[in-house]
Amino acid sequence: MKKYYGYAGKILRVNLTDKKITKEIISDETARKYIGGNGFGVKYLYDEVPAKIDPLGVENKLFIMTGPTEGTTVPGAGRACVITKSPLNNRFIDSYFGGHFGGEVKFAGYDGIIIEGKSTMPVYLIINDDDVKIEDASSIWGMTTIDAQKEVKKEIGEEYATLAIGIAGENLVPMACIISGVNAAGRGGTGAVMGSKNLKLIAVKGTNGVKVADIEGLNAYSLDVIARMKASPGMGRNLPAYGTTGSPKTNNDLGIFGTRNWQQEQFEDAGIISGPYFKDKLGYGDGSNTCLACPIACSQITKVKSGKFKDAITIGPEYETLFSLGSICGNGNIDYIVKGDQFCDELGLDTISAGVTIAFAMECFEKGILTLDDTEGIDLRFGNGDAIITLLEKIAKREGLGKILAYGTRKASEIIGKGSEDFAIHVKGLEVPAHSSRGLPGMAIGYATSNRGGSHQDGRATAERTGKIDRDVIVGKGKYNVEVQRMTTYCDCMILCRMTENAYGLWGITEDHINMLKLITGMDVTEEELVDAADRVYALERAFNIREGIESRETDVLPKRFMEEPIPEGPSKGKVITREILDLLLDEYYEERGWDKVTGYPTKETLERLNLEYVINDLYKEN
Amino acid sequence: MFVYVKLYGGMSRLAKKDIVPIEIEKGYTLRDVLLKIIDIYGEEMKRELVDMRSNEFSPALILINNKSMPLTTNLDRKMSDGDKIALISFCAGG
Repeated sequence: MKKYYGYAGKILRVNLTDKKITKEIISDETARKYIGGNGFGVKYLYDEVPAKIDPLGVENKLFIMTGPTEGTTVPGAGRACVITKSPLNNRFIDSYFGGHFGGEVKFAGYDGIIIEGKSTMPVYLIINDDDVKIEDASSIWGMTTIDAQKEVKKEIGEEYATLAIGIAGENLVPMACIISGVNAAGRGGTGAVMGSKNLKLIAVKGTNGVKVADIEGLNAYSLDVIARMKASPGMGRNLPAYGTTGSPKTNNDLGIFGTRNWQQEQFEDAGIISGPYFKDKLGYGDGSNTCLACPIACSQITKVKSGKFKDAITIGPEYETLFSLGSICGNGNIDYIVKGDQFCDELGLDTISAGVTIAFAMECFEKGILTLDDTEGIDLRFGNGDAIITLLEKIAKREGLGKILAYGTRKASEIIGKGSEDFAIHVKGLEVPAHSSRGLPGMAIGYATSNRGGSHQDGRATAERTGKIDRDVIVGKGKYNVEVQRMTTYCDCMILCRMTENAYGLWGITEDHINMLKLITGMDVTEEELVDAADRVYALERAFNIREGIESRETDVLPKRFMEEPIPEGPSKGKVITREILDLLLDEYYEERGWDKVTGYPTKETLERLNLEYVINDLYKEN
Repeated sequence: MFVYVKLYGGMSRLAKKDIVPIEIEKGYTLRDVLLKIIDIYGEEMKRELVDMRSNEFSPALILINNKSMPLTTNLDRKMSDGDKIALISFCAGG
């Protein structure tokens, strides 16, 4: 790369089959078209991972990417992402994690790391600037994510940033995640892909800086953003004080808090599993933590003070986990949530997929579809905290009922049958997180059109949830969601934390987005050019899924429950996203995207406009 | 006449209670109620409600008598005796 700043300009490629390590230059053209992060990752994924391969086979690859922001002073730049073909739902997945890993990758001189091939024995990778080594990991194989990272750091130095898999990843559990420090690249089974390559851990440190195009301008800009954040009640007060832990109570009071496998959207114990209660009243708050370059420091450290789980400790639990190990399982005991969250981090399990799948099993049990024989004697009624903890371990070890639940709700419901498919809560095989579809129509269309499946990181709830966009209005939400996805795609290419979205813009490409890119990279781009870049990246993700034969208008759909069962109680009572509403929003959505309304494919004209001519033959083979 | 304001998170911590009664007079608007809360609890409470750069109330979805509505477009809404207002704060992210 010659023209642009902010990038390291190189990608590190590690082949675990032949142990070959290479460094590749990224072109200026690639940077301009795909920006970085998610954009680079999906470009590599599309070009290098053939269609219909086994996600846990040797042909799949892991792309660990940074964006132009990492290593700079931009608030929210402390993240990185993992992109791969998901073993949970066989489609594109990008999963992001905080901490210091992304910054160290950049400081070591790389914009990303590509892991390919498969080692015959457990290994780990040490990256120290140009010095890259593949080491024997047999002594740490079988350890928890936390112990493995501690052990390696003891050996090579605390200054390394690390990520690791736990036994869930080693056991190829399709919902296994990667843990960096205690931050999860949670979704879509990235940990299983890492495990399939016999790669236990990566450690990285670097001594290079990151050169930006306009250092004075960027520093002034970053200081201005920090001042804006500090002045805002959300980013300056709420997030530093409670992180996302306050949301169970607030969303519950609005009647949009998934409860008992979404049979309800109000939970009687929501207040108890909210930060202001367990932090302030129970005294479980044990400090806070931050990622690199973050003025917010939202990570809340929570420690159980007494009882059977005394001293159980975790970062968070985040809102999603208070839902997934709490309300959605009917569990109002915060101690079990803290313990379960810690356990998931140690085992390397996605708390969302694990908790939502357990909630699905609980409904099966209460409806008599699963019996005590099936559960090996576990009383799987909603609210049984011990059952949650036991099942987390069984999922990670693929034992007993855990063998089935490890596959997530979609496949588990296919195996269990007996009508359970009707209440398997997933979109495209990825379990739906804690933001209500029925109560927030913009979120609903966001889920239905997410390339990952049931993710709250493509569409977003924030604008409707803060009243900036009227949640009671349906018409227009399809177009609106495209604008939201342009924002999230841009932020995932730059790799910016979602906690900063209120500062940089909740939808569309904003002046902040344009300025930030220019100050860091020197790219002088128009809004239209950045919209095209975001649309290019999103269309390429879509094309990857279409090439897999698993994406079309038919798959842009919501769980049956969200389309047929209105919210039964509370201030959102009666809200539902019917098939008719979804179709209306999909039509709006495809029109704004330039995608075909019948097939849901990007049209040839759109692909040409986005300079994606090379994927046309893959999508339109018959022509 | 009184309205009853339910507080969350930092606001509740500052007020040391979850629900505060606010005395109103005829014609009082939601804005008047919020200003009165700030008046009672001071600068720290203002920081929970107001963007200190723009000096405007921060966008939020609130409940009035269990019906959700955006705060910023309802500041001029007239309050009635016995109204229940939930000042639901929200963070980005999650």
